[in-house]
Amino acid sequence: MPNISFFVNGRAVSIDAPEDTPLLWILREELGLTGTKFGCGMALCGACTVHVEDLPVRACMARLGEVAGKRVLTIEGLGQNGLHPVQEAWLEENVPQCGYCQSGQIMGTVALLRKKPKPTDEDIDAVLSSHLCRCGTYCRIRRAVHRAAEKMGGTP
Amino acid sequence: MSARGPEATRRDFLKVVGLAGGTFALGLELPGCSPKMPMAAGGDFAPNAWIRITQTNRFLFALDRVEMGQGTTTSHATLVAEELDVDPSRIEVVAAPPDRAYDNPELGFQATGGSTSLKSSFMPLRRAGATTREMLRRAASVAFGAPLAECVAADGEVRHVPSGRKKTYGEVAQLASTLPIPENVALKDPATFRFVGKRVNRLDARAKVDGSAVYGIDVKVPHALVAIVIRSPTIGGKLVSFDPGSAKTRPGVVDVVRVPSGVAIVAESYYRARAAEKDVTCTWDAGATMSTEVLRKAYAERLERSADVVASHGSIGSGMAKARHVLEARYEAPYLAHATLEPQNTTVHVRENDCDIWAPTQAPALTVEAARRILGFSRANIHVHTTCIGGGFGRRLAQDFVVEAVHVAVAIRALGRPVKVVWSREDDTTNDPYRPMSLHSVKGGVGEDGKISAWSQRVVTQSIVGQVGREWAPVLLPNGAPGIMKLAIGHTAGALFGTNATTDPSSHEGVSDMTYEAAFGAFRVEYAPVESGVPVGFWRSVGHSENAFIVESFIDELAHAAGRDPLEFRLAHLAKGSRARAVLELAAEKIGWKTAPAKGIFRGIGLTHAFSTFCAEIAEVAVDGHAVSVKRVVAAVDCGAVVNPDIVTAQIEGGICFGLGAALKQAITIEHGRVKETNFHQFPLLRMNEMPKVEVFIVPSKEDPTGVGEPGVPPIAPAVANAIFAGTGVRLRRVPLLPALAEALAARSGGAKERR
Amino acid sequence: MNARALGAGLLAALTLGSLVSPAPADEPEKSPRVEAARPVSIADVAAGEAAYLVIHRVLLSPRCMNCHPSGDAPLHGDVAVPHSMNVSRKSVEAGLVCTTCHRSKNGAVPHSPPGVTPEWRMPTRDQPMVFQGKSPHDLCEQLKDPARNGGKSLSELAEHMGHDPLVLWAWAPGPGRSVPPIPHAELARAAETWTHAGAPCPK
Repeated sequence: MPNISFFVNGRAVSIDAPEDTPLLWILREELGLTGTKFGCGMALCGACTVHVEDLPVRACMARLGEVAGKRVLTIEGLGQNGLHPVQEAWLEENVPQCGYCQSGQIMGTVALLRKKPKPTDEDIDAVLSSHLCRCGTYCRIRRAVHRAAEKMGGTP
Repeated sequence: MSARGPEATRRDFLKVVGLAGGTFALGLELPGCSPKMPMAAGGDFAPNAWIRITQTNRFLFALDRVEMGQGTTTSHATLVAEELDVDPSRIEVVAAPPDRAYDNPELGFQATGGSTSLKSSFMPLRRAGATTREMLRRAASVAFGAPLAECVAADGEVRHVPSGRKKTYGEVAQLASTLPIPENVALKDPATFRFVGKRVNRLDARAKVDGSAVYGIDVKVPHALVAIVIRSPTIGGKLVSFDPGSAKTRPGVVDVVRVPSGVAIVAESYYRARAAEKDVTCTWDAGATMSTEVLRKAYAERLERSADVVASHGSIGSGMAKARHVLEARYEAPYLAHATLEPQNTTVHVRENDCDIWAPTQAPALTVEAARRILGFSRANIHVHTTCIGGGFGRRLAQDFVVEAVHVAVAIRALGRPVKVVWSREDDTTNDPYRPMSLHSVKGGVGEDGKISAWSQRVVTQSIVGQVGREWAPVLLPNGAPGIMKLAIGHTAGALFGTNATTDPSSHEGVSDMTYEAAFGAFRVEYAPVESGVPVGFWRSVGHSENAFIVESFIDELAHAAGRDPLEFRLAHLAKGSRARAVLELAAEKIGWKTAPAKGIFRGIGLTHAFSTFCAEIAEVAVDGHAVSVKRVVAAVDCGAVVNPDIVTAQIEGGICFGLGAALKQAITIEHGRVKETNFHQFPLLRMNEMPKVEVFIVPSKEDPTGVGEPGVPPIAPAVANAIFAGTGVRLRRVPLLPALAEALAARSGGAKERR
Repeated sequence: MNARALGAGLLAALTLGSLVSPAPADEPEKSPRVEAARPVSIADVAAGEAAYLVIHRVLLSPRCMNCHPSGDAPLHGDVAVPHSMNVSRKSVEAGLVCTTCHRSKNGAVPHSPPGVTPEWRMPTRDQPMVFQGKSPHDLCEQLKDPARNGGKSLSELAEHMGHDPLVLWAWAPGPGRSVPPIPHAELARAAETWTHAGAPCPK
């Protein structure tokens, strides 16, 4: 089987694995990018959210073959020149508890702010209700999203 | 509180943390929860098991209460930083390895649970910090050749005040390490605290927002294999035989082996192992056959039989006789899964005479013990590395996932490679030690005076301690069983210890010691333990998690029966000046109890005293036809002196979310020995759109600090159930509430349909 | 869970053709798409109406209707409950696209998100193509109206029902999901019959 090539966090990679392998495990096990988390394996929790061509994708559902030639962004690549404003907002609001869901929450939020630079609470609920947090950090996530929007000055 | 100070455990950090060498020798890093520890260097100053100051002026702190989100990294480092007088952000926190120096005096061994972390560490860590700072000051006196009285240690520096000379702590570390450890060092006056009692940003947050934090599932050990385990579809089922089929011919699959819990597929990666799962055929024996519906009937029968009285005062008979209103009800709560977002996992490397274990464990001491019993190694040769933990909630006190991983490692020992066993979500949901199911009958009377003249309750449930005691006993016994575990284990696990055991306080906590009972004319609580064969465990807030629902709902029933306001009725049973009364009054004031809520919004109260912390929650619930949604919760909490108010607030917010998901939606059901729920579509966690606005108010207090990891959970279920009653007139006596409400409303509208 | 939605999407795709750029019906370039007048017998009309009722049964099956709800939230399962993750058109507008979870293939286990190529989607807010709760007459009229069906001609409708992968998905919806009550070949025939008869609608 030919290798499948794509870009992760700006870096070209080439992977020798079955093309129906979930992208999640390619990222975690073949590329060592463990910031993308395994929570449910069937797009119920959002912990594995990455971006493919700037759109959010649950890496447990995306298959390796689907990302051939495409740009994948993970939490590790988000703040390549220091923290992304969303990550900064997360720190300022002391959002994480156990922290396991937060990579996904942050990637979901970056996608949200791209479309809605000044999101309402309803917008936030419409996107982030698909991300589970077992510790119950939702109140703070909501505050942090608004804070990040402010930091980013409403520019997508 | 333990009287044990650093002087009592003169075990130096160097030696203890040096044991973690297995990790460091491999050059592994566990950022976030356990940064790479510099190799011990001569001249470091390590006067106790927790603190090490290097000559390069680094401040290392060994955290012996695991971080699972509840904030110990930050709160405990803050205690040390406060007394050391350095900014908490300068403290580098590493996970303490297993060692008796790190026993939790509240539990009797090295474990994190029962909301004990602050309570158990508050004074020991302050003493450790203060003693260290005093030694640095004495070292300064030597270094400056000046009288001690002229030297201070503050803000990370020692200074000779008259001359203005100064050095960093690191510069006098070596000197300090040669000095005797002083006793009875004065602690800071709380009035002068710079960090304790104030918001300090979480020290573990950075690694959790940039993806660098290493949870158990993320551990990368060179050459490690990954295994999945196929387990019995029924509870307790045993493997009869298996056929690996073509699994071993798949690329990346290394072996398919039998282990006590089932069949392990060992591969180069998780996805390779998982892909081979369908190739393997397993034959199981029948296993268990219980079903939730059958168990409910058995519980109902058990309710009618004898039970042990676990609390009593006054005469129930005459109390009921005196009552103007008498009510009787039955309440039920289901099994619940912990559903930590990080599925269970453990990485093990077994060698000839020793091993390394990387695990998201809440109890490193139990992890060592679990491995020791399988491997027969001495405890010193079992190197446990606690990783970041993707949610604990009591799940990771149980060591089943460690035991299984050790067995897998043993089965493939000949390969000489470490192995990480990773559970799927389905594995996790169907193989949990569940929060026990329970059934309560409760009867109460209210007299002419509007006070409860009698309260009688019988609790039918499974003993958790009775089950886990077997696992814990070998770890507890060498040390005796101090603290609450002595209480807990002493009875139900009595057979184990050869004592007279009749009860498990964790089964009826919050009932037998309910906040109001002293004000009742008569009071009796009986406990009827049952055995179901369903594995059970400690689930965030343990017995309180269901018992608060029953007690706080039934007191609401009595209030309504007596025509009293639910707040006034409760206050009438709480002593003036009591902490319980104060939190309830504070919550009521903040929500504006005296002012009616907006149209369509209804309020309900929940109040609990759990894990020594008092917490009142008042929920505002919108009722629109058959739809209910929780809009706002006001919580008031008294947890004694506060170390970090923002973490207290976060824990109460999180507790409300955790408790609300269970209250509204969650249940584990068993059909013919199989757990029916497998993933989040069937065991739904609360989602953001269901999360109410939460306001948390903290009662200022100078009492000793108590925990907040669990106490936010119990009051929310009754608060919401009581609000639903206020809005619909439907009294829900069964959780989860949403299906119970739908059922009740459907029954109620049965007549209405005919009219249509 | 989303099998339904998938079915609905299929139907939507079937009926809508391109959801992405529906052209207003009154645009001049639209007129060539109007079918040439063709004599239709009374028998044809009766057969066409009967054929529509076949189509209608498919449209209201969960696989099709779930993505053509009366509200903004797609539906789940065979009981038409709103998407459990608070997902709606608002989600898509705010950056959570259907393809975040609904990828190129069905998930392997029951309740995992269904998927199909080219793309999982709902009708747009502007042309919501509601099936849920519609009478045969009303839905039929909507279906054949290029102003409300994404600018599709009758032959394009027939083509869509006969060959669009999103439509075909409904008969291969992944584990644990029911399929429409009629085989796909029968739908395709009904679509031919109906459109040949000039797409008559039951009263």
